[in-house]
Amino acid sequence: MAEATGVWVYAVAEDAGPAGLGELCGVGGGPVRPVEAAGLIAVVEDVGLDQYGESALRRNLEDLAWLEATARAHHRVIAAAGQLAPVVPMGLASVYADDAGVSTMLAERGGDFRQALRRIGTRREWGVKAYEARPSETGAAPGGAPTGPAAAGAGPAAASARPAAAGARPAAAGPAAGGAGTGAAYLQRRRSALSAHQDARRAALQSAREVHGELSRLAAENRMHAPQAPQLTGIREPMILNAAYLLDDGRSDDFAAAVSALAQRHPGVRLELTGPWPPYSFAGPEEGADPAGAAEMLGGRPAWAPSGQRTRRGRRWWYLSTGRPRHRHPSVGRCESRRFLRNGLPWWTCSTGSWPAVSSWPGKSPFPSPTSTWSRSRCGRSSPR
Amino acid sequence: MTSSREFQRRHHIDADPESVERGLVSLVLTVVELLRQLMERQALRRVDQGTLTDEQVENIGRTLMALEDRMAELREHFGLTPEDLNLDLGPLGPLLPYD
Repeated sequence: MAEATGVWVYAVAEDAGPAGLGELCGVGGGPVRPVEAAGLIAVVEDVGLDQYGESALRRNLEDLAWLEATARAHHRVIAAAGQLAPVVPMGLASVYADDAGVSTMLAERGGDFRQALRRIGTRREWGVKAYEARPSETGAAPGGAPTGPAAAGAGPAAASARPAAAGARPAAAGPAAGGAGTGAAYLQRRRSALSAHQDARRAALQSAREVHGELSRLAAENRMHAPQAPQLTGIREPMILNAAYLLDDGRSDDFAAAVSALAQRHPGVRLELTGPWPPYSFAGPEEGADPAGAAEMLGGRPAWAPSGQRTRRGRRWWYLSTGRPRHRHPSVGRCESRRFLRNGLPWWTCSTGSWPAVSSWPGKSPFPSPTSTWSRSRCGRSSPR
Repeated sequence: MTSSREFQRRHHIDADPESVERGLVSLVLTVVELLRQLMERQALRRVDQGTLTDEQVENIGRTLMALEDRMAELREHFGLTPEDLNLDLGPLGPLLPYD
């Protein structure tokens, strides 16, 4: 009995497709081969549905070890194909039932692929991540200098108030027998610690904005991604910038020099440059500028979050968006900012993202009336125009 | 990079009694830490508003100081680091700010 197989698609290239793919091994360990349709060539592999079927994938994608191995194999094939000819990479886990399905997909989305290939050309993607540079956690701070003029006065106080240095309390704050003012002094210390923390964060975000602005000028295109959780990266410092830049071939040296110059100029952030990558972030159709989304991302929080709430008129749904048009979900929003057109639909932007103006009730028109229910948000300040 | 494996290991469900107790303790202490930080911030806000007398400020400060000491003791007693006392809310980030 033949086991069910699917077709895992790696990338799509235009005519004169990548030859010499035969020796590559894909995610399933099988050989990689081309599928031609509609003037495009898809680089695919046959995989068993027991491991790559829908339910199996849902299970396996939660397993980080499996995900790591699969992502590496996926990337290896795409990078190899990218060396031979310009390709549009497909996202991880694009599995089709058979070659006919792949051909149909190529025929349907041929226009998108060709447009993406024209746009990408021979450019490569480079990723820049910025982390908030923390002063040393130890109370004595042997090698570390105080974070800046704002924290100079609160430096020792901040260090002593940090939980990591909980043991290194200054002798003045004796527990029970303190004189008048130990309580007030403690509150002072806590306040200065909190404000120093906030100031450092604000300065780091400002630096990240400047870094992004300058690097965008050097790159042909740029995309912002949600910052990654520390558990994923293994880095304790919060990530405040996660951007991808599309660079022309000869400009990578200039770009690297610019990154190191910016790192020198902004000591509050630590920059990390990775590349060159196949253009994963730029495979989708070009999106309009999303200044609210970018600003929100640089605000340090993830660019999307789901939640649901109940309003007086019933359930109000908030949705999530990754900012890519193909997902076509609205994003979470709390307060109003402004309304603009994107993908032919009216969208709202606000401090936490942007979302299309849909009302919550089924059967109602998806486009807003000036008195949409969700406009009466919890913060009480919003009204769509 | 073993970070993702550590993450997986740390979050793998382990059903033996010791680790269950440890997990429960860290959850409880996380909630207590959250409340403590909230109370601290609220106290600072009240102090900034200026509606409290000096004696009240003093009392609040001393109480919060004692609370912080107690939290540190509890943490050390159970062998937890401050980083352990945190919950990951997924896309919303961590529960307690990285401090």
